[in-house]
Amino acid sequence: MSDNLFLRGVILLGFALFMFKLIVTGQIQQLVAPKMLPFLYFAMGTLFILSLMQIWRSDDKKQIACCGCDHHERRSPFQSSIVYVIFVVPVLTGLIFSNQVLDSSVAAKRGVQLSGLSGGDSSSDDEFFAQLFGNEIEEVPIEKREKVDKNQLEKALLASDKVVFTKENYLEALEIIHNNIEHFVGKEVELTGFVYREPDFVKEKAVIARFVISCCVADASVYGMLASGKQLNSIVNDEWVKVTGIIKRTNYKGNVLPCIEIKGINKIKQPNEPYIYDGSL
Amino acid sequence: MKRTISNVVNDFFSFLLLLMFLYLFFFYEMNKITFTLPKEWAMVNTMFLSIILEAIPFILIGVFVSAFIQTFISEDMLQRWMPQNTFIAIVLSAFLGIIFPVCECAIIPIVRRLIKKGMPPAVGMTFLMSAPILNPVVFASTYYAFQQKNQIAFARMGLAFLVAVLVGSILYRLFKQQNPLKIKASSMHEHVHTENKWKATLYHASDEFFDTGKYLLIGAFLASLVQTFLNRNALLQIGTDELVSPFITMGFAYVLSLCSEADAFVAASFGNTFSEGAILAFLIYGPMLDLKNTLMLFAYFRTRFVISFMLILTCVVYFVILLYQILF
Repeated sequence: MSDNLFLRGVILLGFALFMFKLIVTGQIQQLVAPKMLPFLYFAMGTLFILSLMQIWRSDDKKQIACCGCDHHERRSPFQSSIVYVIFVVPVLTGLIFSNQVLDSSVAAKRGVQLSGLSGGDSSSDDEFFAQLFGNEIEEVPIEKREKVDKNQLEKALLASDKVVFTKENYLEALEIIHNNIEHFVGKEVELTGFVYREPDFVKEKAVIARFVISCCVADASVYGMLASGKQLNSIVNDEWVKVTGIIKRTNYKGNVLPCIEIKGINKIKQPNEPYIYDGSL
Repeated sequence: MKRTISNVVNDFFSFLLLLMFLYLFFFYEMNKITFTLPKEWAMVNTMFLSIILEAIPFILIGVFVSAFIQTFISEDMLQRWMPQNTFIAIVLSAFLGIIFPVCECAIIPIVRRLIKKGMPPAVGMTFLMSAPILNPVVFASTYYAFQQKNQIAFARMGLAFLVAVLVGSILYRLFKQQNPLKIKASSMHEHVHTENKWKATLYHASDEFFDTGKYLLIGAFLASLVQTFLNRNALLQIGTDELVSPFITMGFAYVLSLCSEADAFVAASFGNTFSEGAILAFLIYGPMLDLKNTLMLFAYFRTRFVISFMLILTCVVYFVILLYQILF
């Protein structure tokens, strides 16, 4: 297949250009988590170099077809063109079709978590974790440290009268409220997310939810908080809203869960960064 | 003569493709979009692109390491480094991941190259199973995802080690030194390169990118279909039984084809639906075997070998998990 070196070079270039465009337009954020970006820069650069090399190599008439490492099985032209079609398709669909942001249809298939990151308290774990990785901390950067420290956040939230969810504290705040629900009942809350309803929900009930992503959208999970109020009547699924209200306690499927009694609700545009990225490595 | 005509045709199409890519890159405005897909297929497209974008850097790393081994490490060197006793080699290779944290996308080209260079297949497969789990990055992400159940992270490491060594030993008993790789006609002779070794490494890498990449792309496409259309809620409801649920989560891990670094987070989102054993089954089975890399295995290894490997791995994981559930 050495006669296809030029084609291979073009395909590699296509991948590099596709990645470059995603990175420049920022759309990459809707496909993979920011922590993967260095790897993507590496891939883009490498593909670009490989592609130039292939194109250059294809012009080299003295090139001997063989390098003996079984990449070069003889295939019929039809078979080998199928292989290239497989590579061309993602570049084309990637450049032509815009990304579909995950919505409530996906949430319905994956299920919504209403209790934060797998529930339970973890106050002493951070210390343990630091001990465990004490000497390795330089090699294994624990991004969590750049984010909100959970213990500090817990103290701050318990002390204040109003809980404001942000991109940075989203998961931690959900977990803290769920675990200390008795301390949070009656407090004000402000939360941004999209509206999602389970099939058995009435119109006045919904989950204000966000997708949380670890590496790429394939591993997205949905985390959110129950909300209720007449104001929800006019809001359909997948609409983005900023909700303010009071935290109440509610019973849902046998679990005690926090629930927002809505005071005010604003429809907003879907944010440029619709996803939350979890703070693990 | 025929050859040259087909070359001209090839070059012509390649050139057209190049123009098309450049046009789309520079002039096609993503926002004033004229073509749209039906929503579900747009979702499949998004999942698909996301999976391959995440995998490509690691495939490239795997391909480079493999090409590096091909060019720079000789059979003799490998022979000298390998312990004489295969069982010791199996146990040691299970720890290799701590030094070389390679994920499941990158590992297959590397292991295939190592086996080709004379590493006993059972040792190579042990490395293939353990490296994506037994490494510091995966330990940390598992620990983070299961903060209040930190035994999960430790159990994941311990059981993964056990499974890798057990399956490795069984493969050794069954296949000994038989070559499990497919033999291809052109692979018989070692080539002599007159060019410098670095250039050779790059050439190998880009050839292998296409070689490996096609299976990854097909696998990623299948996984994105599952990601979009499979209703997890329905599945989660079947499986709370201690005997059945590990099977369900293993099947889950297989079809979802998640990265070993990200799967703990997904497992955490299962909440309390599944027992600890079932969650561990998910966390151990997925990185060792999934839809995304099954095709790659079939492409490189003999069918009989791959099927035996899959069966043995499935049984061993299941029984190890049952044992864990009984003991803890």
